[in-house]
Amino acid sequence: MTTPIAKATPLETLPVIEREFAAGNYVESSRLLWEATKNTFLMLGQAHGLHTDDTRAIAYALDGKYGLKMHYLGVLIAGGLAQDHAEMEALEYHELEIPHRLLPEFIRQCYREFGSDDDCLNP
Amino acid sequence: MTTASTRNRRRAEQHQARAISYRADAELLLEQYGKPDSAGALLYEAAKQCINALANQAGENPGTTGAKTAFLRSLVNQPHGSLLSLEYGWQAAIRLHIHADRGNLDDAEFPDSWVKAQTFITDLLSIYAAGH
Repeated sequence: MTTPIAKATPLETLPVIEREFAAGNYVESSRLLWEATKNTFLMLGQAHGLHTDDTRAIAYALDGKYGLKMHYLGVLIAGGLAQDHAEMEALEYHELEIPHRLLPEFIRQCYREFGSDDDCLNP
Repeated sequence: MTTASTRNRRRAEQHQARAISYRADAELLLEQYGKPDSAGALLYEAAKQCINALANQAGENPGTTGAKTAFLRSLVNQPHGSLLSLEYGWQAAIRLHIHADRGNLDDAEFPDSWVKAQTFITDLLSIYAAGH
């Protein structure tokens, strides 16, 4: 059974994602993971004064600014895999494991460095 | 008599050769024939061959894609510099594979995954060459 979380922040969503993934609700965990990733990029865009909601443009700008320290475009591609599974159930378990491991770590690190969790409620 | 290490070395060389060949064919399919779906599928195969080559070089022989992913993770966890990009590169290759089947990538997203998967293959081939 999935848990609806209206207007939860990415950080608040992470335990729910982990719970859904552990329970085998991979479509729901992937949907929440993609949303959290997307909102984290929007927070990053705001924190860096980038006036766009284009997550690709934000990823390119941040990779340009920081080099490959955080692999922003790579993160976005991994988030896209979660989106693929949420929309098409396209992945096997071993393919889902990597984004479910890497992206929460990325989101936590981004909020530690750049954000208050409130920033992403209404990006 | 063929030893296990000789067998693994032969397998590694075969997988490396296939990786290089598949990548060249994938580039041809994309650039000369304008077939991104087929090209993406073949680049994903090239990426898998790279993982196989490295695994064979390390004395392993992962059969399933899940086992290949596990081997990649063991490689990433080795303490010789940041190899986190390898995991993201593998994600890009998987996205190309899904695209070949489902057409999930748009015109902007396809080149992103293509470039990342190419970098992944180049990096793995470099690691292979360094260990040869």
